[in-house]
Amino acid sequence: MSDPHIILIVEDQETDQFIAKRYLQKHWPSVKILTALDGREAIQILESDMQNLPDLILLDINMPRMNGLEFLEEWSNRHHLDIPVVVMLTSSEQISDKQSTQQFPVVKDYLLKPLTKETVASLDAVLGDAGQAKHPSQE
Amino acid sequence: MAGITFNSSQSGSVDTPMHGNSFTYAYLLALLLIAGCMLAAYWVSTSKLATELDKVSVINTAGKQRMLSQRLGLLTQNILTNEDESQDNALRTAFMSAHQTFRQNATILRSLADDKSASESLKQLYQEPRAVDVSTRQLLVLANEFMAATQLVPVDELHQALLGQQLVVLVRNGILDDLDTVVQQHEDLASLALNNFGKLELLILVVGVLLLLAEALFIFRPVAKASAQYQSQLETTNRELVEFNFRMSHDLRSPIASCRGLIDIAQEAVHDKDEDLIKELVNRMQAALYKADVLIEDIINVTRTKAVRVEPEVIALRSLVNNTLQGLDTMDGFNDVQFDINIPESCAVCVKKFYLQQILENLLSNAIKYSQRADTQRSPAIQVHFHSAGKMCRLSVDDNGLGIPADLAHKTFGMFMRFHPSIAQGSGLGLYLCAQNANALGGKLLYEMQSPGSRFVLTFQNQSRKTIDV
Repeated sequence: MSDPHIILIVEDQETDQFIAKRYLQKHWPSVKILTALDGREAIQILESDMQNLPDLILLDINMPRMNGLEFLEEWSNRHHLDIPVVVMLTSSEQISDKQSTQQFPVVKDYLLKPLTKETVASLDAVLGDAGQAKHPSQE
Repeated sequence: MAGITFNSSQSGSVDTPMHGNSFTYAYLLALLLIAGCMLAAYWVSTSKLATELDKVSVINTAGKQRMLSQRLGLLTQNILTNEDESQDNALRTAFMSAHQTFRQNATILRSLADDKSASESLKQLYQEPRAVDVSTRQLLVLANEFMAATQLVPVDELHQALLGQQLVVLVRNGILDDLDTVVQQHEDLASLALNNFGKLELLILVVGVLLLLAEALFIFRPVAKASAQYQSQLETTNRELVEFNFRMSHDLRSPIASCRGLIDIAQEAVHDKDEDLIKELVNRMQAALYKADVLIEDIINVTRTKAVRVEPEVIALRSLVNNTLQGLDTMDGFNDVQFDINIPESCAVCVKKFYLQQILENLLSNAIKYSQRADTQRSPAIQVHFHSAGKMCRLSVDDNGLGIPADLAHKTFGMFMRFHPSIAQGSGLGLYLCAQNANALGGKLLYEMQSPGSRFVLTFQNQSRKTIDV
């Protein structure tokens, strides 16, 4: 798969947004990065331009107003199709949290903070697999 | 949306009528009642049984008396017909012994017939014309005369035979029937007494069952109810603790993970000698650590609220509010807020200051923090009002700021709730802590949505009878 054009970071901690942005832009210099402070803001951003949905959403779990799981639930209810690839990025090592995210097929990976060069590199494979699944005829 | 109220009791404690020692005392009382009932039943049945045993022994005495009369008759015949002189003494001794026992028993049976508790039918047996007493006395007299006749020297066989014959006839034709009637009477009396004893046992059983029912109703039921409430409270507390621990561990890990990420970047920045980036990273690390510090402080406060024992004290309410505001005057936007403190200078309440002060600090700092960004056309304003009626006090903090989003208002007093993450990043424990403190003050904290802004109403108990003027 080609490099992602747009990535949305849904994260309430501004410092964690900063870290993620820095590594993502270093890995994919031309990527456009959007940020949202919680699930509610993320929905607003996504719905404001449905024609240009991001290729990847990095999603935190514990956030105010609407957390990551609530966001997935809400988004799945509103839009059954055209759901971008979601990778969880969280401090939570709770097994229950990980299991809860697995019920959503769009969630392709579960990463623990902080984001590092290595974990960003692993996103290539995630996006590649997702691209193949989405367009099998291109193989 | 003004007027819709959200209650802090969702995360508060449940008032239960019984705790710890009360449970023990209630169970102890129940056990004592049961033990007392058993002792009373034992005492009543034992004493009653002793009386009935006396009656059974009377039957025995009456029966023995009947046999003795027969024995006296038989011995009389034996003495009269005996031709073996070596047996004479033995027969006489046996006769005398039977005679003596018969006399003693006659005295006992007579006294029982004279007793007040004796039945009428028994008494009649000892009255004329057919008195047992008369025939008994006749038998004793005849037996005496017969013994005397057997000891005369020389022997008057005719006189001896005549007395013996009278004695045998008396036994056969009179006294045996009378004594049969006496035995029957005592048997009837004993049967009646046993019947009464059965009734008494039934009464004891009924009283015991009623007592157990009363215990079940007035002791075990309240205890079970209180126990269920207590268990429910413990389960709620446990759920809160589990959630608290989970969220706390997550939120504590979060700034540490941020710092680890920042350090990774800093190492690259050092390598690249990018001083501007290094400075920014240091500032961010400082902010992350500050955040962790604030969180730890809030966690300590929550823990302290649950654990600390605070005594009520008389405090000047107006001064407490003023001092709290003085402590907050370095906050951004403080000087832009118009404060209206509607509390008389002379007003004082007797309350646990530690809890009230924390509530005021949280509510006022929130009101300042979220006051000025809602509407730039509107001047930020905060009002504090106090009102009391009897022991109940009402303290409200109103602001015209951002308020809490309507769809999240039901989570106002939840743990780790942050409603405006883009404006301030606290621990999200402040209002949860306030709700806990309101419970500790014997009151509640309510949230009312305003348009615009918020109103928090704290109701609490004044530990003194009324507000005190100082």
